[in-house]
Amino acid sequence: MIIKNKPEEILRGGKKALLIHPPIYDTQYWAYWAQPHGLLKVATWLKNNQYSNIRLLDCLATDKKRNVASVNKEKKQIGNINRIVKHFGWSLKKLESELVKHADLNNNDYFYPDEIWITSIMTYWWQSTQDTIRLIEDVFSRKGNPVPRILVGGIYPTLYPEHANLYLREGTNIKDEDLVIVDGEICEEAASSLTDLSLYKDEIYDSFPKYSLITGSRGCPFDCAYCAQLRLNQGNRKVRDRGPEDIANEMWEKFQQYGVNEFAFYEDNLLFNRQDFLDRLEAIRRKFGKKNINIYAPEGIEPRLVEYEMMSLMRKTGFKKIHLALETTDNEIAKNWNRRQATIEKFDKAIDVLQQSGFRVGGQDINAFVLFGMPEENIQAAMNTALYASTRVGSVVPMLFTPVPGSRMFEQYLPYLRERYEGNHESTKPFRDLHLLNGKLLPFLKFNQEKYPKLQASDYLDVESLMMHLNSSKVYSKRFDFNSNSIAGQVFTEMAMATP
Amino acid sequence: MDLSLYQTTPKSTGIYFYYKDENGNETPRPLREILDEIKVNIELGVLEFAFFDDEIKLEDRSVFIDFLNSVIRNKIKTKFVLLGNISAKNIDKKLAKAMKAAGVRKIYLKCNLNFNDKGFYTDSLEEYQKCMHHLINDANYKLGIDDIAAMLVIGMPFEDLRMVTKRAISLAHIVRSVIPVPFQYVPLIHNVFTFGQNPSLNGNNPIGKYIAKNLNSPEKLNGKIYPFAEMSKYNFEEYIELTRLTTLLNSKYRGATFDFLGDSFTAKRFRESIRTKGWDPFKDKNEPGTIFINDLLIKSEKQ
Repeated sequence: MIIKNKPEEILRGGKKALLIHPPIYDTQYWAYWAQPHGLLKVATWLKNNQYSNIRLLDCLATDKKRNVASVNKEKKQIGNINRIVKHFGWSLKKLESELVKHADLNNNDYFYPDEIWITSIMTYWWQSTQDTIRLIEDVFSRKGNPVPRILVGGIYPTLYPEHANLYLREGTNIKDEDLVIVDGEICEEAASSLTDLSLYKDEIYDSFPKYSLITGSRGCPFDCAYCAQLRLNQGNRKVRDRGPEDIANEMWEKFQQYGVNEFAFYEDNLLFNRQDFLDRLEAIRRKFGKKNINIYAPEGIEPRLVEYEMMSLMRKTGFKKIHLALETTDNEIAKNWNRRQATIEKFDKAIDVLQQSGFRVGGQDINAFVLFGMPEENIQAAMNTALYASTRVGSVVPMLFTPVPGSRMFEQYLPYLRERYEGNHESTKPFRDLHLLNGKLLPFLKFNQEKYPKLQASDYLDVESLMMHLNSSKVYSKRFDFNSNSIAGQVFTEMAMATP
Repeated sequence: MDLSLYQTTPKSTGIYFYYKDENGNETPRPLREILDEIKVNIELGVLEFAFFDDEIKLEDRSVFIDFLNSVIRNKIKTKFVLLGNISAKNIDKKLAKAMKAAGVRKIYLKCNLNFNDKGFYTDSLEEYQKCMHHLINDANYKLGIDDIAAMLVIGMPFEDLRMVTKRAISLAHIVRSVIPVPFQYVPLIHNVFTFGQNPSLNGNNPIGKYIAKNLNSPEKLNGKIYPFAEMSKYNFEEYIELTRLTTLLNSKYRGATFDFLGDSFTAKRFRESIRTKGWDPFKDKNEPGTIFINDLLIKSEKQ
């Protein structure tokens, strides 16, 4: 069943909860900011609601070097290339061994949960959530005991609750009311709870996280065609801020209590409420004084909103790196993506401002996201964007496009995706195989081959590879710049121009 | 070499193909002797052997092939690396196949220099192309994954940095990996510089003069700081940017380098972007005489 905005239907008197962050299946995974942020907030909220026993099974918990182990799972043929889908995180066997401890009524060391909460993040990772649910049912029903009520929340069930409600129960005998799909935030109190890092004080983890994800605001007034934030925020375009002191207090508490000194703001539009954000930075500075902390905004900030006072203050407060949403240098393409607010002129100006504020170009201080793999894309435009980002910014972050349920583009291309993957563009059931829409599996390859008949899957990898190569020529903290006046830059450009 | 002195045997060690006879001439060692040394070290736990010789010479190519064939015949399972001591022109089909079969895993092609010619580099690009053809097509070495690289000496007195850069890019295109080697001045090397100067290191010799005036202590001659940059009328930053370029040309993503001058769809799109300046969203606006209306508006608002 799907529950939306009804916290009273979620809290049904349970007192013991197991929280699971499942493993994932993907070709690549960057585990640096892998904390199950929403689930850790739920933990605090449950504790505030008199839950006596809570345990976190974070299958993607990182090791001391902030890596997650992986094993090859399956090979997928995509056009002329093979992609290896890997299982990242704990094996299902390891997860099973932990579940078994909790499923044994005679084991006094571990509680038998009333509820099992699962967080599920990316829509294209849904299969591992399904496997986790099947495993729970299998383990807990072995001795004829009741299977705890399962609640699934997070980005995936919020963006596509109908999908989660239909397909996550596939292959199980779990009753409708015992598998709850939580659509959106449970309630304001849960959404504004602080993350409970104390759950990592468990023998199962190699190390205690020295970083924390912080959500200081939610919402964005824009509706870029490829982005699903509006659906995630239940159509609310207002940017809601938690308040500067509240955010600074959370950071301070984590610093004092756990020694956390790296923070990542995960927000839909970090800079939109200018004064709120400036106040937040001031509050953090007041709290931390001269203590050394690092702050990141890995989701990217809006270039349009970059200005000197703010950037200088960000730098003083602990921002060492800035990620900017460039996406494309072509304003016409940006317009087609409903990104009228983002023009290349504003981006370029943002780079000047960042330089004036002390962030250096040519290294990794400033990073620009470049989107490619879009349907009907102009590949030359994607290449132009990557080269512009390389010479103007220095660090290019390639982003292969995934059509995300809840976004305009997903809806627009759904008939094509149904035809391509289900052989029937008229189906009304939720689109099942979301895992195939993972950008790294090139869902629009065939679509774009109509425009570029010679285009091959390997060309996308090549484009991505070129972007990574351009990033990796750092010597004395600067990268090679083909557009520089150096002899090397000039000769490289001349030879490139002279080669057909 | 007595590796038994190590508490833990190193995984790799060096080995000589040549020895110096009583007249000081380099002569290939008896093959049996080399094989025995290899076997002893393998038993100690060595997994890889690097040839320490300056060069495996062309006139000894057939002996070297015999050595490799005896490794194959004796079923010696190990790895060999040739780090800059074999020239592109010395590798023919037979040698390429024997190297692959005997377990030569890394081949860094020697950069041969002739100081009597301002061109410096003696091996033609065609020789590299032929060599790569043998290594890739005949011997099944893989391209662009670090098995094969071309070494390139840079930072020589009087060098033409444009020519050096061109050569680096061309070698990266042919060999897919180029390793810059900073030129290291050693005493008496001036004797081999004959173009445009007096070979002896006296007041009339430009290198001699320069060293006496600017590089008068050994640490100033460290190749890595490009001591002759200024003499060649370049600044240090030019060499660093060239190093960045070679780092780019050598960088690997998913284990492979990128061929910027290659025929791939992406390489062509890359060059198209450079050719048309498509990467510069302001290329039309930056032409002289263009009026920046937006700027004027911003200025007038500020005023």
